[in-house]
Amino acid sequence: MSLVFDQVSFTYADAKQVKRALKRHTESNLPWALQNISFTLEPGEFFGIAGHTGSGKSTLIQHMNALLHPTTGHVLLDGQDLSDKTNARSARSRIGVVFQYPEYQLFAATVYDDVAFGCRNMGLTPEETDIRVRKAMDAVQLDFERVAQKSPFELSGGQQRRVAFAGVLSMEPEVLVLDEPVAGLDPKARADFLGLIKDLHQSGITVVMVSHNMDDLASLCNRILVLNEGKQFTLGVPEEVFAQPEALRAVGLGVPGAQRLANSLRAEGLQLPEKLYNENSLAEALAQVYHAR
Amino acid sequence: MTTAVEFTDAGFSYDGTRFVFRNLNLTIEKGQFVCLLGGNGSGKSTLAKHINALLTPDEGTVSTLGNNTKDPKLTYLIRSKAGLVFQNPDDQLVASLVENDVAFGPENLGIPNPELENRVLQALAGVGLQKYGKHETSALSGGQKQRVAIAGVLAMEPELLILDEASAMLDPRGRRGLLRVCHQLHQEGLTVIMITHFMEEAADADRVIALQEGEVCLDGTPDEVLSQAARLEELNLEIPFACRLSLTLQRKGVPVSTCITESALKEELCHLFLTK
Repeated sequence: MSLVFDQVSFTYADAKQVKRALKRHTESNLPWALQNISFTLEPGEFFGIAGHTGSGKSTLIQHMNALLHPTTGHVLLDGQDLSDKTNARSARSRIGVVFQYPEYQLFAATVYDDVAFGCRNMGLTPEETDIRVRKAMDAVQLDFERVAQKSPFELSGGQQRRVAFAGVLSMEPEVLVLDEPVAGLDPKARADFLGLIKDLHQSGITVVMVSHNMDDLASLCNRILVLNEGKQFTLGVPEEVFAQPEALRAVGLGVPGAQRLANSLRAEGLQLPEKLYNENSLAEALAQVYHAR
Repeated sequence: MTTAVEFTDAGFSYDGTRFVFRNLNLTIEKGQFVCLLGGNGSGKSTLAKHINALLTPDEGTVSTLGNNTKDPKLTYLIRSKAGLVFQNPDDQLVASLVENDVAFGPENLGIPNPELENRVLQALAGVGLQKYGKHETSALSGGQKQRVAIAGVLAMEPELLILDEASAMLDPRGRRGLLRVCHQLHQEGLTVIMITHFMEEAADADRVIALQEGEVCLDGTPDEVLSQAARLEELNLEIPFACRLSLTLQRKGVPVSTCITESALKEELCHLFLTK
């Protein structure tokens, strides 16, 4: 699997308007939702996307499974352009997108039917579908015997979200794209869900996660793309991205708590080694400074 | 009269058998900024709905600003004095224009023009959206929508504002804006009751109450409540970052007190490391 964004720009303006603007070279006046986004998603990585509301995150992930096509530029899955209809179709079963508040999109009469919907659409046999539904429900820790024949609307919010996850997992995607997967959950449910996502990633699925929570991104991601007003603001490993707290703050984002405290202690004149801190490593560094005195 | 809300031996159940809370006694003073914490299913939202008579107790009484919520003649008075803002910004706006939405409450109270217009303008100014009166509600960000919902409450000139996880669906910037507005309104004299999962929001309150299975299990100042790490963990609540770090530091032999805010911890560390 290789997913390449090559100079992708996108505007919600209608096609006529775009054509006219391109002809007259006035395309800079168009309301661009994305501008010149280029990156390659590596197989097996955990890729984070951050950016405040309106920065283009959701528009970007809708390009990943060809729900939107670039106005200019290309999205290539294994070298095949997703603007092509047949390519787009196959991409949708290989790249699973879980949207924000996916529990609002449940619709079937039973949990089983909801989870099976994607498989049936892919034309799988009932036997194959059954195997996959059981596997997907198992992966999200839903008890098949107890829950499968219930209406999804009888379940708690956290369980409903697991059903929505299972519906995407049952298609056995190679890439899992998650838009704010833990928004609105209480601390316990959030920790459970992040654990689940980590397990899925360790089982070999490539994960793309959109989040506002810098602590979550810092602790899970290999690389983070920060968007601002539709443009690529930075792309790098967490250490690089969080080394620029002022710049991040200017685009409406924060840095993880431990990093924030480390930065402000440094600003007061305390000597701390330059690196990305989490709670434990910061405590360790501070204890070392203390005991060395 | 200084009591904003009083629960006396209150009990409530949705299905007649399992009580969400029972024998609950809780008094909230006027003018306070109170944070209510609790995991899912602890009864927070049910409690909030009792304050403005959306629900009434099966046992005991709930009194809001001295009015018994069970008295049907007082229901509308109570609802105009105690405004409730919910979690989902897309669930609670009713009109297509911001100013119409804010006017909805006071219009229902029968407030005539030009007072109605004044109230709308003032309420929008109160949440920092004075320029947005003619905007469409559907084109606002989540944080702006929540502020419009608060303005709709303010236009009824309430004495009490209750926020039921109103910031849960907002991004960090929207959350900061909402919190700033709430503290400002509190300074202007409003009693604020805030239900939240975010410990950073609780750190700035006058009083923090934690619920578990319908019972008040922690009640005190933020310093008293938020520093009880072990207890918070049992309650499925998050321990504030600064508190977790101070506890880890203590274990590693660094003499800091258990701080609940980052700025307090930073100051202690600076004092410890940088002054001779």
